[in-house]
Amino acid sequence: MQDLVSNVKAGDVVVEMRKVTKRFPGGVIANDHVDLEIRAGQVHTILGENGAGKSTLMNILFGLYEPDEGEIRVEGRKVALRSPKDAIDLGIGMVHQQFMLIPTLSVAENVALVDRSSRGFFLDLNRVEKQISELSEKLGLRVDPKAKVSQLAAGEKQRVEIVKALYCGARILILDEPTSVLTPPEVKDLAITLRRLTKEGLAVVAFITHKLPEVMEMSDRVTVLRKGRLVGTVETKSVNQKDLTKMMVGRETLLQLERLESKKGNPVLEIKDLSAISDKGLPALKKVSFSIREGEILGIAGVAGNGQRELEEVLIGLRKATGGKVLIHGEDMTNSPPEKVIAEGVGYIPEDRTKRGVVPDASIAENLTLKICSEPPFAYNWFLPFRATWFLNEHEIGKYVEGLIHEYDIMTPSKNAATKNLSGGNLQRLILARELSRHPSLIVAAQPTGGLDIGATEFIRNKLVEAKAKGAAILLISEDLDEIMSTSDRIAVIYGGEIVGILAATEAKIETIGAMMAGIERMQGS
Amino acid sequence: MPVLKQGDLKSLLTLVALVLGLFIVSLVAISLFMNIDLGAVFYHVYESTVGTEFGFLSVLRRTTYLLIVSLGLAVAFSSGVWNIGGEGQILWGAILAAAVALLVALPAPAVIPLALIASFMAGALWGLIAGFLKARWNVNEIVSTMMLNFVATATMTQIAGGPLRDPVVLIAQTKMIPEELQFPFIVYPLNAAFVFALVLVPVVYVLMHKSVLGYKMRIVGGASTVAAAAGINTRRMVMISMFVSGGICALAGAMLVFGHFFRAQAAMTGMFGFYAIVSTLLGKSKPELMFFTSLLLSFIITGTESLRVLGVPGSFTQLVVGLMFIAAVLREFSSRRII
Repeated sequence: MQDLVSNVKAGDVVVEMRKVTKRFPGGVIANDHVDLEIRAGQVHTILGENGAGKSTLMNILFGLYEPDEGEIRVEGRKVALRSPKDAIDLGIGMVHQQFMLIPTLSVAENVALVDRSSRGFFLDLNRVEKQISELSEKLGLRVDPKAKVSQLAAGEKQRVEIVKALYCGARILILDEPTSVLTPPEVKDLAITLRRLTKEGLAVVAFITHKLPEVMEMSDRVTVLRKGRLVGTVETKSVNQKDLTKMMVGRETLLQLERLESKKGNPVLEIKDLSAISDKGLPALKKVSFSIREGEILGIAGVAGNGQRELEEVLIGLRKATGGKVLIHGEDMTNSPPEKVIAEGVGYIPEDRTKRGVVPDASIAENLTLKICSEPPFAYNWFLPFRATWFLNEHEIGKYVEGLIHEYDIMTPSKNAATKNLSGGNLQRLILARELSRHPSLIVAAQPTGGLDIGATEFIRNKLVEAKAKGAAILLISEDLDEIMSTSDRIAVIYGGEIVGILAATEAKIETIGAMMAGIERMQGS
Repeated sequence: MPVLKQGDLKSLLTLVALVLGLFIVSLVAISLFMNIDLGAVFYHVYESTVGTEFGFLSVLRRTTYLLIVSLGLAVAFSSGVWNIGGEGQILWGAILAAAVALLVALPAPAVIPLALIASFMAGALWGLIAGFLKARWNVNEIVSTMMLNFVATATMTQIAGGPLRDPVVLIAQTKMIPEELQFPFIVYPLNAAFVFALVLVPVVYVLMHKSVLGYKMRIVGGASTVAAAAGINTRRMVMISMFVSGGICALAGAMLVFGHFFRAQAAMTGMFGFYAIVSTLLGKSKPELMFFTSLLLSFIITGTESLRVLGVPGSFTQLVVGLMFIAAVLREFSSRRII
C-alpha cells in the first residue's frame, strides 16, 4: 500500500488528456479531440447524456481502450496505457457501476484479491483486516473488514470498492455513475467521503448522466461532453443547473424531418396507473398514465434507467405489471402474454436488437419469418390431404422475404445469410421490415435509431412517420432528444419511473424538457 | 433424404479426419500401454469393422440404435434443451414395447404399430417430466434427465423382474417376445430395424426444418429471449421438445426389443443414450449429417470392443468415445472454430 499523501499539492494537474480521439468500427466517433485536465484535491464531474462519450473517455484513462489519437500525461509524464494494470501502476483506480466484488467472500478477502503483498502461498487476512481498519478510520470510510459482501448494502459495497482502489495505491479515483445505485442518505455519505478523500490530496473523477443537484453538491469542476465532443469545462460555483442542462442538451438545429400531419382517431393504447418493479426488485414504474390515439406519435423522453425499459417490457408482456391497467383498442391487456399482445396488432422494435430483436445464428429469412410463421399462406398443409397449417410454405415465405429485403433495402448477399453478419443499421431495417409489414395498429419502438449512422437513422424515422400517417399509434421511447422533438406529436418526460409532464411537441422547449429529464422541474398536476 | 450441402460436406470431411486421427492415436497409445502388438490391434479393428461382411453389417446394426437416439437428442438440442436422459428413455421404450408384445394377443401387423406408439408415449412422458420441471421451475434439465436415468433403470429391474419375468433365468429380464414379432434379418446380423432408423431421418428432418413447430423450436434454441418477444411460448416449446425427444429415443428401445434382444432387460441400452450425445454434437443436430456421424461412431465402438479378445478392457471404448466428446464439445462451443 502506498502512502496516500504524495508530493503533489492540491490544485496541481495530475492527469492531462489532450485531443483524445477514439473511433469505433462502423464510423462511430466516441471521442472527438477531447481535452481534459484533472486536478489533485478536487472532485471533477464529467456530465453528458448516454452516448456522449463519457465512458469511453474514462475507459481510455483506465487503460481499457487505447486512443486512436491524442496523448495522456499523468503527473506531467507522457504515458501509454495499454491495460488496467498500467493504469493501476500509475495510481489510477476505478470503481465500476457494476461492483466487481465476490458476494460469498468477506470484505478483507475481497481486498486481499487485489493486494500484491498477499500473493504468497499463505493468506495473511489479519494483516489485511488491520490495514483496512486503519484506512477506514483515517478516511472515515466505514467498512467492517469481517463482513460478508453479500450482506452489505449498495453504499457499503461502494465503500469497499473505494477501499480496494486505495489499497492498490490509487491517487486518482474514477467513479462510474456512483450515485445511480444509492439511496438519498447514501448519496450524502458518498459526498462526505469524497470530500475527505480530496482533503488527502486525491483526485476524484465521477461521471454522471443526470441528477444535476448531485453534481452541484459534490463537484468542484464539471466537464460537459455531447456527442463525443467537449462542450466545455466550468467551475461548479460559476454555473447553475439550467446552464448545465443547456450545455448537456445543446440547441443546435435538428435533423429536419417532414412532419406529416395525420388525422388523430380513437385512442389505441391507454395506460392507467401502471406500476412495475425492476429486476433488482425496486419500483421502476410508479403509476404511469397516458394514452395514444390513431395517427399519433407519443415520444417518451428521459435519461436511460428511469423506467423506459420496464415500460417497454410491460407493454409487450415480457414483464408483469404490479398495478394499473393496459388497454389496447379498449381491451384489457394487462399482463397478457406476448402472443396475445402481438395478435392484437402490436409491433415491437426492442431496444436490445441482438437479444430481443433477432436470432443471430438464424438466417435473415428465418428472422423475417418469426411472426408470420403460423399464418396462412406462409404455413400450409403441404402434402396433407386435410386443411392444416403445420408446415412452412417455403415458396410463399421466399417471395415475401425477398420483397421485404428489397423494400427495406437490407444489404445482404442472400436471404439465407446468417443474421449475425449484418451491420447495426441493416439489423434494424430487418426488424422494422418484420414489424411494419404486418401493419400494426400500435408500434412500441425503443431507441429505434440508437447507435446507427445518419442514413439508417433517417430511413427508420421516415418509416415510423409513414406508419403514423397511415394511422398507426406509435410509442417512441428514445434518449435522443432531437429524435423525440422532431418526430413526436406529444412528448412525455419520464423521470424516476414517473411521467413528470406531457407536452405538445409544438409547444415544447428543449430547455424545459431537459430540466424535466434531469428531475429539476415537473409539470403542474402530474 | 436431403442432399448434403457443400459446407456440410466440407465440415463432415474435416470431422472424419479429426475423429479417425484421434482414434488411431488412441489405438497406438493402448498398444504401447498394454504392450500389445500394434499390428494385432489394427488387424482386429479392421477385421471386426470393415474387413469382413459380418463386421461391416455389425457396424450398420449398431448405427441403427445410435442414429435413432441421435435423432431424438437432436430435437432437444436444437431447441436449446440438453437431454442427457437417452438411457432412461430407451429403457421405457423397451419395457412398453416388450409389454405390448407379450400382453396383446393380436396379429403382428397390429401389435407392432401399437407397441411403437406405446413406447414412444412412454419415452415422451418420461422426457416430459424433465421438460415440465425446466419450463415450470427452471430446473436444470442436464441434472434432471441424468437422474431420471437411474430411476428408469431401477424401475426396469422391478418390472422385468416382476410380472413379465422370464421364469427360466435368474437375472431380471422379461420373457421372450413371440417369434412372429421378431424383426426379420435383411442380411444376418442386420435386421429391419435399420430400415426403420433410415426412415426416421427424413421424418425428423421434415419436423425440424419444414414444419412450423420445428421452426419455433429452433428459434427458441437459438435465442429464447427473442422467441419470447416474438410471441412464441418458450415454455411450451421446451416441453414439446423434451416430449418428442424422449419419444424418439424410446423408439430405439423398441427396436432393441424387436430387432436384437427380443425381450427387455436392465442391461440392454448399450450406452447408446450417452454415446449418441457425441454423434449428435458431431452432426450439429442435423439429421442428414447424423447418419454419417452415427456410422463413424459405431465403427469406433465396434472396433474398440473387438480388442477385448486381446485383453483390452471394455472401458477403453468409453475412453475413446469420451475423447470424441471433447472434440465435439470443443467444436460446438469454441467461438474461434478451431476445428
